[in-house]
Formats: sequence, structure tokens, C-alpha cells
Amino acid sequence: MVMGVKWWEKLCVFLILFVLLIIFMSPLIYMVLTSFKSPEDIVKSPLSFNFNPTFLNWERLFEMPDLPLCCLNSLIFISTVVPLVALIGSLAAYAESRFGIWRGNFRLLILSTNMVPSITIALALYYYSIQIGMQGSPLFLIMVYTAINVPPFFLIALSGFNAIPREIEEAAMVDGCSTFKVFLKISLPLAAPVLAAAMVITMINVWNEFMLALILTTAQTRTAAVFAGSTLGYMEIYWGKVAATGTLLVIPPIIAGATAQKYLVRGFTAGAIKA
Amino acid sequence: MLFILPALIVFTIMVAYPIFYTLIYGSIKFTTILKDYILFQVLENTLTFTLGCLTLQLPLGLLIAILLSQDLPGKKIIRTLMIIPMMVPSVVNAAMFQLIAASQEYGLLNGFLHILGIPPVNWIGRPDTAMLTLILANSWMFTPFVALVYLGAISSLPKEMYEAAMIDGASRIQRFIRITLPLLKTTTGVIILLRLLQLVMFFDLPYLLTSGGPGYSTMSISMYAYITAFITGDFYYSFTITSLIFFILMGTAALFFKYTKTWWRGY
Repeated sequence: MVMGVKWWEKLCVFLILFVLLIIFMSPLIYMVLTSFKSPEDIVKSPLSFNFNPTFLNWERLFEMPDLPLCCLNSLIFISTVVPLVALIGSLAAYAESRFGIWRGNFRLLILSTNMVPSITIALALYYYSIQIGMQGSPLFLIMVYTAINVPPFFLIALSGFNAIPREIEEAAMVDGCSTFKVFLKISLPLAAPVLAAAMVITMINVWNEFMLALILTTAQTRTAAVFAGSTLGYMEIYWGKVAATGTLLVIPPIIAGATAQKYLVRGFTAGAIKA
Repeated sequence: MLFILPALIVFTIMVAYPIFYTLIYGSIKFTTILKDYILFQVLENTLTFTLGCLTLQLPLGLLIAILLSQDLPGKKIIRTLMIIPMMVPSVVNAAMFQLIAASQEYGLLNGFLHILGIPPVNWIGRPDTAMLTLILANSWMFTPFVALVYLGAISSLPKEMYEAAMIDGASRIQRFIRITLPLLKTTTGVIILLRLLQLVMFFDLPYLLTSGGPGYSTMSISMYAYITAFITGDFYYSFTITSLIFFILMGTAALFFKYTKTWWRGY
């Protein structure tokens, strides 16, 4: 496919890609820059790089009393959901990889639960939680997050387990290990890098999720995403603060994502039903 | 069997039970659907979103994928940077496009228009431009995704076919139209159905960026269910709407599984 490509053609391709890259990066760059601009600079010279950087917007953001609480809530959700998802997801993926549960129909079941609209689940759970007097209990959100994050985790973990040669496990079986012991002592450590990447993707998904958190949390259990959503308004005039909030929220997933690059496409294909 | 038990329990409680609950309560006001003209507008919006997003994202994604499949210096860095939009929270996506499409003179888009000597446009304040803003915002996030799915497919195309075609003297454009495009048909189908599934559930962007407005012109069906439940306060009817969304999605999902079996088998 790449044979017979002349150097100037390569240059053209490179230039087009570069322009596209700039188009795709400019919204982010623009947001980060805006977060360091004073209100006057935002109005006067929205496009200019030439301005006096100020931390005013960031100070305003950190003055908001809810911010630490909401970030802490997000971290609590992450630290409960991720281990749960990892446990349930890797057990199920291992079983599917080794025994092919229900001739591949189990796989379809898991995938199809990913296509159940989250608004349907969210509203039902909201009214259910009122009925049983547990409105806003973080328990519901933890459970829903676990349920919706198992499918993408499952798919990534599945590819991890499939890559382990069966001979290693069979050798352990011959030596008298039980299935569970083989899973724990051999398969799990061998698949660890893939599982770690899947956990990172789960982390990103939990941090980013907005709608379910909006419906199922109260003022005390709000997540960072819901907090950020509440600072956006269509009549908003503190653009600098909007930009600072956005920048703050985008840092964790980008750092986390950089460590799990290879598996991102697969993870998001399975989990991207979240728009 | 013990291994899949936790997964089955979680799905029964968190997925199957809420759906059951929704369908039962949703059936109470089922006939209201026929009289609800807003619902039809909202469904039409979903169709517009989907068509708009696909016409922008498919060709652009394919273009990026083809460019990235060439042998280039710095290819890896560009690929890595292209992944970034996929990791951005939808809230930030909305914040960015609020800044970009900001009313008056100081948004990024209006800034450019100003340089070109065109008066500023109130992007979010008019039905057509508000829709366009949503489509652009969604495309910012998902075009790289489309590109990476295409890139994966392109890199697994059989090389022998291209070599044979070259020996027969086929030009590069001929090779693209006769070999690459037909072979990417399945991938395109997968992407279209995935995007369709996602856009029926579209909620965050309309809610955060345009509030579904002006009027109902950019409201998505998920957001309409939310509004019915929390603003109008009619929760039986909101269950009817979420039941409807559920059926639409199941229909799409059935299509998805029917046409993309080979694709899922790869996992």
C-alpha cells in the first residue's frame, strides 16, 4: 500500500494530518489558555496568545466550597467501583475464555446489557430508591456503575485471557491445582497488564460519567462531573471559570489514559455507549 | 459456573429488574405517545443528529485513518494525540464548545468570523446553528474514534490483494475504490450502528450545551424523558418514554448483532 510513494506525496499527507491535528487540538488548547486569561482579555482578544497569564479563574474555582467534596466523592466511587468491576469482570471473562459459556451466548448477553439505555435504568432506580426510602444513597450509583462497567472490562479481559497459552494452565492442572487455583496463581498474574489497562479505562469511565450521577446523587454525594455540569450555564458569563473547571476535569483521564493507550480503542468500542 | 454468578447477579438486579419496573409502569400511559407532538419533534431531532454526525464523521474518520496508515515519521505521536478526545469527559466537551460557540464576539468561532469580517452568530440561540454546534461538538469527540476503528480495519486488510492489483496495473485511486472501500463495508456498518446506539442515548451534550433549546429544537429523546420526570413531574409518562427508548435500542441492537457477528467474534 505504501509502495511507490514519492516524497512530496508524503509531505502532503503529513501536512493534511498536521492541519487536522491542529483542528482537533485547538478546542482543548483554547480552553486551557482561556483558563489563564483575565475577564478583560477573554472579551478583548479571545484568539490571541499574547496576554498576561493570571490565576484569578483558578482561585475562583478553588474558592467554591463544593469542589473538594465532589472530587472526593468521585474518588470514593472510583475506589469502590473499580475493584468490584475488576473482580466480577475478570471472573466472568476467565470463565468465558476457558469454557465458552453457553456457546458464546453469555458473551452476547453481556454485550447486549451494554446497549440498554442508561436513562431507562436511571429513572427506574431513582423512583425505586424513593419508594424504599433510600433516595440519593451512593449504594445505587456504585451498583449501577459496576453493572455498566463490567461489559467493557469483560471484553478487554477476555482478549487478555485468550492470549495466555493453555499449555501453561494444563501443566498446573496436571500438578494437581484446582481450576480456581490455576486462575488465581497463573492466569491472573499473566493477564495482569491487560487487566490493569482495563481498570484504568473503568476509572476514566467512572470519572467521566455524567447522566447517572446527575439523577442518582444528592448534594452530598455529587461527583466532580455533576459539579462541573452545574457551573456550566447557558447564560454563564464567567468564561474563565468554566475554562478552569474544564481543564481541571480533563487532567485525570488524560494522565490515566496515557498509561492504557493500547487498549483504549477496544475499551471504548465496548463502553462508548455513553454519549 | 461459579465464575459468572456475580456478573449474572449484578445484571439481574441492576439491568433486568429496572427494565421490568419501567415496562410495567410505562404501560399505564402508553396511549399518550400518539398525542404527544413534542415526542415526534424529539425523535426527528435524534434522526437529524445521527445523520449529521455520520455525514461528518464517517468520511473524515476514513480520511484520517487512510492518512495514518501511510508510512510516516511521527505517526505514533499523531495517533496518540488523536486518542485524547476519546478520554475527555462529556462535561468538558460541553464546556469547550460553550467557549467556542460563545455568543457575542469572544467565542473561538465568532473570533474567526470577525477576522473574516462576518458579524458574530448566536450559535446556541438559533435552532439550526444550535444543532450544528451539537453535531460539531459530538464530532470532535467521536471522529478520532471512528478513525481509529477504521485504522484497525485497514491495517488488517490482506496485502496480497494490493500486490496483485498493482501487478495488473491498477492505479492508487482504482485500488482504493475497488479494494479498500468494499472491504471496509462491514466496519462501516459497525460504526454506523454503534453511533446510532450512542445517539439514541444522547443526553449529556444537549443537556449541558443547549439545554435542548431553543424551544425543543435540539432536545434528545433521553433528555425529554428526564424533563418529563423532573420538570413536568409526570413520572408514569417518563417511564413510557424510557420504554420507547428501550424498544428502539433493542431493535437497533438486534440489527447490530445480526450484521456484525464476525466483528464481535474477534474479541
